[in-house]
Amino acid sequence: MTATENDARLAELARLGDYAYYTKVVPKLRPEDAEKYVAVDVDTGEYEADDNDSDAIDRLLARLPSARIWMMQVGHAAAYRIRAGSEGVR
Amino acid sequence: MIAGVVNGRREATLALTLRGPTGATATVVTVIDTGYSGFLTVSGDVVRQLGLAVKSASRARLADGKECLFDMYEAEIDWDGHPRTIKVSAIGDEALAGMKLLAGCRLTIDIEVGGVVEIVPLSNQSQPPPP
Repeated sequence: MTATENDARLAELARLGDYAYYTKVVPKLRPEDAEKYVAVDVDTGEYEADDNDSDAIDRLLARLPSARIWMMQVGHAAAYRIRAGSEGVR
Repeated sequence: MIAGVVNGRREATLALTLRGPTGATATVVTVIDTGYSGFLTVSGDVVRQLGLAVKSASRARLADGKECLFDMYEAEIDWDGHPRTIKVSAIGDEALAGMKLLAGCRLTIDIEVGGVVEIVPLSNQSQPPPP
């Protein structure tokens, strides 16, 4: 897979993931889910929420081994922060 | 205790050995980035070298407001004498050690070129922190 193809694949996964998160997960979130990480299967909308992102991923994969997982953090547009700028990360 | 060193750019660095599912290993020199909220970033070359399987994908917001999309994998590292399974993100060319990797530890840095970097688990020095 070329870098361009990989970028397109990730962009499509992000599009599907955002749709699944905002339409199928957000309506079900409770106040106590604030700041939790959400692992959502982009195909089914099934999800797991946890304070630990790794645990959320592992639990969802245990239930749905073939899940295509998109990660979000409740209350944020991006699940992670990197203080480096795009020059450092590319 | 996990030990590192301050490099010529006054960055706190840590050499970590990663292990993939087939046993392949790679040692990467990471820069400790307290502004990174994840575990560890590595280059795509390291991911391929270790044969890591993708677990998820996500988005990160960078300091300049831009966003990047990336895949997350799983690898094992040696951490304070114990194997530890962590999530690894394929972002850019530079390896960054983030706050999730350091969770449950005390970080001390002698900020001078060649200075000592020490990471000590808070609870029990013989046990790794929770993943």
